[in-house]
Amino acid sequence: MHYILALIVVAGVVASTTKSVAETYTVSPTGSINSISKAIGLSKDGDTVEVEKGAYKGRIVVDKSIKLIGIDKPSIDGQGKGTVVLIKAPKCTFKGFLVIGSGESLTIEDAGIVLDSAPDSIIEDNKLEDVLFGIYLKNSRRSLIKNNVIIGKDLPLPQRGDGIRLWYSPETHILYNHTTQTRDLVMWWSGNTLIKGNKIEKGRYGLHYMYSNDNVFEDNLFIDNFVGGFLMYSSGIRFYHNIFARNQGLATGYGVGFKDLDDVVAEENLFIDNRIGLYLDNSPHLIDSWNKIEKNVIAFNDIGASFMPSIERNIIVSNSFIDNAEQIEVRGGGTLSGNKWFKENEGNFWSDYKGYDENNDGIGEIPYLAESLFESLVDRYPNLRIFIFSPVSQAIELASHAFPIFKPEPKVTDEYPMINSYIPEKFKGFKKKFSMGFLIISTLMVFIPLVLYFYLVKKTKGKVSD
Amino acid sequence: MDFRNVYILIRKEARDSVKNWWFVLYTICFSALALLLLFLASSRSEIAGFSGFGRTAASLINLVLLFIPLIALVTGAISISNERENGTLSYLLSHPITKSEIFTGKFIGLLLSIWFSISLGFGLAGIAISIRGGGGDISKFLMTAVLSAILAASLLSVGFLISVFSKKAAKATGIAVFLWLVFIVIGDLGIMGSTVAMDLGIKQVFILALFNPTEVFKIASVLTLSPRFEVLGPVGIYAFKTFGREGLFYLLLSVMALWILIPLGYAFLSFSVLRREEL
Repeated sequence: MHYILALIVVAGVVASTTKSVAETYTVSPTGSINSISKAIGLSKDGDTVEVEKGAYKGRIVVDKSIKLIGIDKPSIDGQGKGTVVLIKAPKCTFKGFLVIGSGESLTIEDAGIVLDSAPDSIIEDNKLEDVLFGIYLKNSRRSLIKNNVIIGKDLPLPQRGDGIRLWYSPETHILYNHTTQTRDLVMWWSGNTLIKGNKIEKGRYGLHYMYSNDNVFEDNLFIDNFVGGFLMYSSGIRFYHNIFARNQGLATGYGVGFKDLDDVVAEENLFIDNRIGLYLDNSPHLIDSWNKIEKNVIAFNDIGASFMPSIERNIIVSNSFIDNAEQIEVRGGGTLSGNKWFKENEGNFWSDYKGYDENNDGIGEIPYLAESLFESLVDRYPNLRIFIFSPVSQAIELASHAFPIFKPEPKVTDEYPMINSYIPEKFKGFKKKFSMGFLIISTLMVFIPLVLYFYLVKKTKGKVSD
Repeated sequence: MDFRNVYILIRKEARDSVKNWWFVLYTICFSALALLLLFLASSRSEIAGFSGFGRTAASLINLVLLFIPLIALVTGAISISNERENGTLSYLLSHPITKSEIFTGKFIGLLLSIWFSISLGFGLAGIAISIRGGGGDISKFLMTAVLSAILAASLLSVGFLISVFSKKAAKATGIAVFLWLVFIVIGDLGIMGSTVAMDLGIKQVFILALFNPTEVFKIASVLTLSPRFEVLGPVGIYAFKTFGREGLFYLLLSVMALWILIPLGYAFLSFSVLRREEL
């Protein structure tokens, strides 16, 4: 009896596998199947559709769990209307295509590729050009977006769409993509994602979390955006080894902005040449939450870190604040004593620290105090920032040191300032460029006056003695 | 006006400025400090291939703001008053040479001397920068030097104005040093004080800042050296948005040109109406 049952089961399994044996359809402009939609119509779940090189016009809809593989980058052209590729079935693969020409409607959100209720899908090695939104995931969890290049439409910022947008798509991995000229890389209600190795440039918010918890992003480069990363209303965000550079939007221009963000861990990131390296607004906002900001390099920004008033419960230790025009700003004035600027004999490195290290343990003997009178004036009266770099700013400092009655309360007190900066290995090893032209012109600037001088003085002597 | 005479006077001034202890001292100090500052500041000028509007540029601007106005004002102030006090001016005028020739020759001669010392200071600093490998954009560096030269010209003409109205060199020097303080500290302090006390708006602060040639120089060099203008806060953003990068630059240049032409013109007129026995 058992044998018979087993046989039936085995026969059933064999029958079902033979029935669903994966078939491969090949699309080519000259072949019998000359449109992708036709191939999708013929295929069934688990099949593969290979598309040979060619220009395919018209939008496509994938409603079966199939693999769409482009060979030699065939192009799919939406011809400026609607969404170019719409994937509506789970476990799809879409790989190796050039997707161009979506519509321009922000209200119906025209995109290059949309995954609508298509979990476990893979979008890989595609190039998207002239699209409003790039890759748009709706209710598509555990998907993989890898090695895509997304170039947005050349529109004014308010009319652009997001490069990559996740909507209720947790556990998605976004790896090694490059987006340019788009709006945001944004996640709405999508937790437990990983974002790694991407380059995001010339957008609005390089990275934007909205109500998305427990996310990790690392090794990304956010450059030339309005804001490198604007992380909002989320908790448990961890990020490592990212570079936030040259994000210089007017009025914003943050390397990274925190808004109502709890339990953040930020380690070994580089914030460089932004308007404001790090901006904290109401973060953390839960009473029992602490944010950890450690071992980051914050350099060459107009303002190193800017805080809204009464920000508390951030642990800011072992960071290097290097040559920011203003290291710490407290908007509207005040102090940041509710945060931890040092722990167990370790503070931060401050390039404007004027103390000394008596016992060579790498820690300065006198505390670092951010108590510049000029800065605290500027924090309260932003219009006065026009006088930065003027001798008057130093004169005011001098006066406040000579007459301590003018000294403001220190914004930051670091009891254990580091003597040497800590720069993670990843950010080292760039060679400086030696410019021969610079040297030659400088040398000329020294010698030409000397020669002229010599000439003038010598000739005059002769004339006068006549 | 005989330009041969002017040329001879230019050479005379150049030679005198080498003999002038103060002038040589200023030049040496300026060059040495520029060299030192840039050697110190450019040590950490680049991380991961990025460099910013850092301490290097800020210290250069600060150095120029402290030294160049002082050199220009003081040399300008003693130029005519000193010769007047020593009686050498009336001696000069006993030669077949006019007052306008003397004025022109003196101004150009001194201006060239100051430009030479600026070029020397910037050149030495530039060598230091390029040896340290923090080179970057040579055109920005040259532009800052040119702006410093224009700043020097405007303050030299203010110095000449002081000089024409002073019979004694000591008095002229005193006024020059006081004006120097006004330009670099007291004037700005006044604007800052009124901003805090009277809650001045963005526009008013910007217009008031334009009245100070050193402040105009600073804004222009930040505009040259920095890729963006937000570093100067809301006032900077206002100016940038209202006039645009180029428009703002030309506006600042024309303010500096006015600072050259008006004091110099006034000094020239006052000098040419002076009677022989007053000299």
